[in-house]
Amino acid sequence: MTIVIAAVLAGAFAALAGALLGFAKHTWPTADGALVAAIDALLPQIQCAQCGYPGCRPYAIAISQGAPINRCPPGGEALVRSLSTLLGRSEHTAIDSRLPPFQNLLAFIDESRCIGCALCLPACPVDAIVGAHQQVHTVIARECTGCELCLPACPVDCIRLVRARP
Amino acid sequence: MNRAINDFVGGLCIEEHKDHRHLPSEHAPLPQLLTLCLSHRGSALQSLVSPSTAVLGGTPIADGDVMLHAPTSGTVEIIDGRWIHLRPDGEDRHAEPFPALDAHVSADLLLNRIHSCGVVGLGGGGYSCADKMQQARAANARTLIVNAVECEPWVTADEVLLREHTDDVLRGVDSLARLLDDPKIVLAIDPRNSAVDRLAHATTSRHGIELLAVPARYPAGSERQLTQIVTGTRLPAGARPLDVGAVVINVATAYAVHRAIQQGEPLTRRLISVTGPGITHPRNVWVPIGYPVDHLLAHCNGGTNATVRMGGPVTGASATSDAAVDKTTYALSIVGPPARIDPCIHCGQCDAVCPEGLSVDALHFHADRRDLAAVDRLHLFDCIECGACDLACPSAIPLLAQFRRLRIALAERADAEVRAEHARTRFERQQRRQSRDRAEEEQRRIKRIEAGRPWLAQ
Repeated sequence: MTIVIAAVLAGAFAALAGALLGFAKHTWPTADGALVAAIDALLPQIQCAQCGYPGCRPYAIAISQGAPINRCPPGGEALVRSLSTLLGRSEHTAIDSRLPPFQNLLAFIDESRCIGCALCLPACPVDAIVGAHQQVHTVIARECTGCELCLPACPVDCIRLVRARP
Repeated sequence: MNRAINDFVGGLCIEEHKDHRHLPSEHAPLPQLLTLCLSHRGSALQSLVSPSTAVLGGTPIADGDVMLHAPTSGTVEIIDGRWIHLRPDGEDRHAEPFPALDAHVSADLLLNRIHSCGVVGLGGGGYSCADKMQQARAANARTLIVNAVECEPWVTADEVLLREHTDDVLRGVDSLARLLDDPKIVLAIDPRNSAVDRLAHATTSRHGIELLAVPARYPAGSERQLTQIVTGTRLPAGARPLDVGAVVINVATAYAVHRAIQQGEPLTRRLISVTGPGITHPRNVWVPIGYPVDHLLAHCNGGTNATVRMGGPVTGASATSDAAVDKTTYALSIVGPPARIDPCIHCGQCDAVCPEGLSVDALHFHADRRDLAAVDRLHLFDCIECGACDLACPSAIPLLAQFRRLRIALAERADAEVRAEHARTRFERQQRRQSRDRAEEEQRRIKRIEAGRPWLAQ
């Protein structure tokens, strides 16, 4: 008899603890969120999507779930180092060699050739291009991160990369 | 002359190397080309002239935070956004000066004149004099400190200017004092200065200017340290003299103010020391603003641009090959062959002399490892870049140059962080907008489905 009471009590306690933990995990998912935020703070926020994810934050979420940490050319080796320190993962030391190096340039629209098609507008991850249909577009240099995502979007190749921040 | 009762922390006694202080000032001949920089303290100036315009001396040629005037008559040659090149015609004709202002004009008129004559702090800071006095008025500053200390070795330009134009400098000081509400005027000076006798004579006949002998220790002439010597209050980190009710004006600035107000003359030339251990005959030369450094070195039989520092031999930064004298250049120092750099022996001399009480030894340790977070934590940004640590270091480690590089690196990193944060915000805003658009389209689709196809039912 005693053993049955003990088993029931232990079972009830386990069920209660499980329910509490499950509730806590759903209500305050801070641990994961904090990790994603910490990774996101290290990423350079160029939003170039070369990592295969649509932007820096999506990549940070993917890294927190185990994606490789060597897919960010703008961050370079310094980023790989700081990520492996943060996550305690030492499987990579350099950026994936298949990815092209980041050039740190700005997009520039040649206004004499722009046809006002507005195709580059949605391509820009930080809304740095202003323009409308049948209007010449331009890049706000202050907002441009140099991600190069607008280059393939342009049907007349009027966007080129220029040197230098002011 | 009174001796200062307050003192600052740290600092050190150094060899002055000021034997050329007794030589009279000279005038440099006009060069082939003057190069005037279209930026001032990092902010751009708007050019007021177009290429190949003929200008007279004193004509305004650029405007912005401060005004820039043509130093002599000639032709404006190239403007490539950053520089104005003025080719002098050799006649040195000048535009009609502004009318002299007498003692009773309003403060606004005085400030306006100081601004339109392009007067800036000539001690090296280069802050607009009119803006500084405006802020001092707004803050009701009660102490006007005239900085004649010139503590840096080898540099004597302020001393010679003060000796040769004692009365003019004091008139400038009077004009500045009129902008404040009956301030206490303190002229701080090194007791070894050769202008002391003339000053003592000149200040006995006018009341209100106190002559104060500062401790003969480097860097007594640094703005924060001088404020402490005069007011007795140590400035907290990041505070300016104005925060303790003091405004510090360099003697050369006071002279420029006098020229602007009593002579109506814009600031287009200044007295600079061409000096340093690498030159046989150090001297003080009046040069127009924009004078090419290589020309001036050739004129003074000095070295090449590679061995020259813009400023004093301690705090000056290396000159570029196309450097020119600007309003803040108080000296050109030709340095000798670099000393051999030995490893740090952690003797702590640098800690002892740092007038801001920084842990220089620790800063150097972390700077060698490029640990930016650590140097930031050790208050690198409170460094006043006086170079006392360089002077004290027995291993001749170029500490100041290292700290300057680090400050640039830290500023760049902070800038990159700001840019990243900005891009992150914009990206996340775009993401939210796109998901909202998708959700709205989904709602519309559901509504369409629920509405069915009434026209087909008929």
